[in-house]
Amino acid sequence: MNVLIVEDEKPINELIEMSLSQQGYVCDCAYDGNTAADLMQERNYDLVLLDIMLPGIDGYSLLEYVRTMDTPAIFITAKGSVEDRVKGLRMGADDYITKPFAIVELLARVETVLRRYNKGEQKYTVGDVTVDTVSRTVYKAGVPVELTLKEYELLLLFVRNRHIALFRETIFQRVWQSDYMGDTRTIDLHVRRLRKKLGWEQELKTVYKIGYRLEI
Amino acid sequence: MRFALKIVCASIVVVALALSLGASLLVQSSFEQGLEREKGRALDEQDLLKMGFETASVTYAIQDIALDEDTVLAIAEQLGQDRSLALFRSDGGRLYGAFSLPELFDPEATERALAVLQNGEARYLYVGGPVELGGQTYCLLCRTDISFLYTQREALLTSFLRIYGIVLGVSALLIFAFSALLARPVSRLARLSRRIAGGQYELRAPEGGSDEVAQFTRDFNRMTDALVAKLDELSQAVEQREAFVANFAHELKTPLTSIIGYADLLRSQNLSKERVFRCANTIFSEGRRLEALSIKLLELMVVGHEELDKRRVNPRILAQELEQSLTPLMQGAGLLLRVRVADGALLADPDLLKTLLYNLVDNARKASEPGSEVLLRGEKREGHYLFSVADRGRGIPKEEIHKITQAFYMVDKSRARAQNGAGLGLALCEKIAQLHGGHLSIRSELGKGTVVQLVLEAAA
Repeated sequence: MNVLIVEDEKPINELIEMSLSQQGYVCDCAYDGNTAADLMQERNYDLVLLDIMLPGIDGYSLLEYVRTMDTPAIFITAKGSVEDRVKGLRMGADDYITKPFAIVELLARVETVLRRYNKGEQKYTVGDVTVDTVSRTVYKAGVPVELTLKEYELLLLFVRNRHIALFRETIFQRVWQSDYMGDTRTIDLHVRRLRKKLGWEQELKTVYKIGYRLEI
Repeated sequence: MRFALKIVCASIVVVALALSLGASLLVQSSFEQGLEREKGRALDEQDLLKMGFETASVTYAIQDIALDEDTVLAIAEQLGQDRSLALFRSDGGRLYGAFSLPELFDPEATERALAVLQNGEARYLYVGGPVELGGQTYCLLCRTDISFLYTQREALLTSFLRIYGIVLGVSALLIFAFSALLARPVSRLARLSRRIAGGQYELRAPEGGSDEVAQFTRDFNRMTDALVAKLDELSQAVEQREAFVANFAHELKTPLTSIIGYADLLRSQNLSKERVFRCANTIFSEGRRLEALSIKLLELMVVGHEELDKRRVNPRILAQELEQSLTPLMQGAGLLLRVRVADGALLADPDLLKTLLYNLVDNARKASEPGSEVLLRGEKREGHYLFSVADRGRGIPKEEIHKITQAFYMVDKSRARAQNGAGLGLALCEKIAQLHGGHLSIRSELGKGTVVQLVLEAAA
C-alpha cells in the first residue's frame, strides 16, 4: 500500500509517516506542491494525504491533479471551518482530517477510504486468526468462530491497530460510537470474551490504567 | 399621505378661502352700492314728489282753490300716474295709494324715514316723510321695487359658484402637477436611498441646481460617500482580523498537532530508543515554537494597548545599550555588528524603540550568512531622525516586500520555522513605528541584502 504524504510542516509529515509505516504502509513524503506533483507522476499511489496550505502548488490544485488519476485523497489541514470542509469534499476529497488529530483517527480514516476503493485489506491474518471483512467471518485455525457484532468490531479495531495501545476512551468511541463515561466493565467484558474465543490470553495485553494492545 | 398630495390639500384650502372671501366681499359690496344708489334715487324721488305736491298746492292757492282733501287727492292722482306713491293722513288713514302704511312708519313723524321691506318674493324700498298741504300734514310714502338687486345678487353668487368650482379644480390640477414636479427629486432620492440601503453602495444621486433639494442631494451623496468609506474600512478591518485569526489558528494548530501527535505515539506505541528521542525532541522544539509564538503575540497585543511612555531619548545612547545586548548574539552567529548612530534627540518610548531596533537587527541576523556584517546607522535629517539597518543577506523577493509586515507572513516558512520565527517580528516593528508616528520602508535585492529604514520626527 503506497501512500504519499504532502505536508509542508516537517514534524507533522514525519508524524504521519511514522504512524502509517508502523501499520505496514509504504510512505513517500513531499514538503511542497511541486515535489508532490513530480512524485505523483513518477509513481502510482494508492492514497494521497494532502495539506491545503502548501508552498508552490496549493492543496486544492493538487487535488484536481490527483482526481485525474483516480487516486483517493484525504485533506489534512488546520482549516477546520465547515465551508472549508465542504469545499474540500465538493472538490472530490474523500475525507477531511483537521489538525490536531489523533493517530487512531488518522488510521481509521485512511482504512475507510482505502476500503471504499476496494484497496484496503479485505482479509486480515493475525497469527492463526483470519478476519474476512467481506463476509464478516472470523476463523481460528480454519475453524469459524461465532462473534457478536460488538466483539467483531472490537476485533477489527485491534487487528487494524496492531502494536498500538488503545485507550479505553478510544475503544469506546470507535466501537460503541459514544462518549466514554468511565464505565470500563463493558469494554473489559468484551475483551475477556474475545480472549477466550480466540485463545488470545497472551496476545491481547492489558496496558495498565490505559487499555489494551494487540501484540502479534 | 404623499408629499405632493399634502401640498395640494394645503394650497386648495388657501385658494378656496381666498376665493370665497374675495368673491363674497365683491358681491356684497356691489349689492350694497346698488342699494345705496336706489336709496338715493328713492329719496330724490320723494323730494321731487313732495315738491310736486307743494308746487301744485301753490298753483291751487293762486287760483284760490281751497286745498281740501279732494284737491289733495286730485294732485295725488295726477302725480301717482306714473309713480308708486301713497298719501296718509296724520291718523294713519290712507288718502291715496295702492298700498297701506307699513307698521314701521309713524304717520306723525316729522323726519323722513327709509326702510326696505319684503312682501312675498318682492322687496320694496319705502321712503316716507311729512308734507304740508293746506295746513294739513300728510305722510307721503314712495315705494320702489328693488327686487332686481336681490335677484342680481343671487345670479352673481350662482355664477360665482360655478366659476369657483372650475377655478378650484384647475388650480388643484396645476398645484398637483407643480408639487409632483417639485417633489420628484425628493422621491427619486428616497428611491435611491432605499436601493443603497439594499446594498447597492456604488449608487449616487445626480447632482445639479442650486436649490435646497440640490443642496440636499449633494449632502446626501457626501453622507453616502462617508458611510461607504467607513463601511469599507470596517470590512477591511474585519477581513484583516479574520485573516489574523485564521493565521493564528494555523500557527497554533501546527505545533499543537505535532505535540499531541508525537505524545500520542509515545504513550501508545512501543518505539525504538531512537524514535522515542525523535518524538521527544520534536515535542520539545514544537513546544519552544509555541512559546516563541505566544511571547511575540503577547508583545504585539500589549504594544497596542498600553500607554506610550514617551521621553526624550538620545539615539546614540540607546544604540550603545542595544549594541551591548546584541553583540553576543551576533558573534554567536558569526556576524559583525557595526553601529554608527549619531547624537540627536527623539521623543519616544525607549523600551519600545529598543524592541523595534532589536527585532530589525535580529531579522538581519537571520537573513545573513556567517562572516557578513550588519550595519545599524542613525543620522539627523532636517527635522527628522533616520535609523537604518542594512545587511548583506539573502534579500526579499520584490513581490513579497509589501506583505512582510503582515502578521504571520513568512517569506520562507521552513527557514523561519527553523529559527523559531512566528512571522510576527516585523508586524510588531511596524506597529511600534506607527505608534511613534513613523513607518518602515524596506529596500531589498535578492542575494544582495536588505535595508530597513525608520524615519521618526526629531524632538525640538
